[in-house]
Amino acid sequence: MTGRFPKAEPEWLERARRGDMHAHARLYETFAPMVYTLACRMLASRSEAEDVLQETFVEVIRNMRTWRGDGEFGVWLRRIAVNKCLMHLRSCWVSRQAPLDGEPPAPARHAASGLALERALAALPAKARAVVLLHDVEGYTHQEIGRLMGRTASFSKSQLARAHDRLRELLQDETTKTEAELCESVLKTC
Amino acid sequence: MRVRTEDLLSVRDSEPIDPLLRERLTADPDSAREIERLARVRDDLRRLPPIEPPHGVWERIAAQAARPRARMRPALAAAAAAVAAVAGLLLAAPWRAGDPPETAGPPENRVLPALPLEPEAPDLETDYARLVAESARLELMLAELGHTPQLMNAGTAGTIAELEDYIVLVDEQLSYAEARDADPRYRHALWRERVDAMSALLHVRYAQARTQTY
Repeated sequence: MTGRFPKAEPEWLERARRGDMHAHARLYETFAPMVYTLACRMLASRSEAEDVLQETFVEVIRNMRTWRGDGEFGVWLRRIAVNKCLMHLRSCWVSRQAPLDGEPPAPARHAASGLALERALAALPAKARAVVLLHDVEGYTHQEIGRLMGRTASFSKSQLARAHDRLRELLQDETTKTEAELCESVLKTC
Repeated sequence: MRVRTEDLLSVRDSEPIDPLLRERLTADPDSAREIERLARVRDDLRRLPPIEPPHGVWERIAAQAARPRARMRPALAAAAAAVAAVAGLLLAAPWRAGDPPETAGPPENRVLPALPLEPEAPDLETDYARLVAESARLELMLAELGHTPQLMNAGTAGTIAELEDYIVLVDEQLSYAEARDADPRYRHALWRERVDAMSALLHVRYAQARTQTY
């Protein structure tokens, strides 16, 4: 799954490791959409995704020297972002302040099927949504997901199955709506 | 034949599964169609377009990174003092009589780097599960208390903020410890720390909620 990360110039990585903030700004420009997209979809909240984006890059700046450089930068960065997202999901008061189902991310304009999927994903329970994204999109194994969530691989498997059962129902509901209705409802959330 | 989505996903993802079951599922037209559909959903999820972050975040990141990190010990000391200050109210708390959190208490001496590790014990795993369950129970109780009100004593507000910050710090450590498969005793100590801090937060929130009603 590492081939789909944006590429960082080795020179910028090296300069960032030496604390060069211009280099960090370049890395931010390259990788911020990846982190923000992941956070938006995992948390289904723009404001929380923005917090994760900020916390992730602050941590990168503070800990860049500890990155050994022997692995892909995107993989390291994604691990930090995933941990931050899980931290937000775990923090009950954060979810109380920003209800997860009350502020879905603004999806990019694309095919109606993508809009429907985006809406269905945002309507999943938080844990199920995190598992489906980590497994099906980010390529984590059930073992890894279980460990990240302080649970077992079986927990991850059953959450994934439940998520897909629910997605099927939600997507069936969506097919009864017209494309115009879908676009209208999504635009209301922007 | 009753088909479980979990089994269909195992076939889709080429995960280990009983060979006979795999054969039966792939031979059954309905199951095969469902496996294909699940694969299409996965591919569609991967094809969802990126979402552009809002403007101005980098400036905030650069400003925050330039600030020194917050020190936890003074914050915890303040939190502990405030917890002690509301102890009188807690004695009368009705929920406490029925189900007291055994680990509640001021966390002033439990700064993360010095977490005491349990000796290797055969029931560490059981206790780990107990702590995770206790943490979930406390979250539920906190959720039942509802939103933090806008109007409250500055000291109480500060205490709540300090405890919440501390739990965020523990969560951060916990995420890393679990991602790196750290020593189970350390992860156990972190979960215990989380339960203790959440108990303290619940004490403060409950006391504060009681004072709001008068």
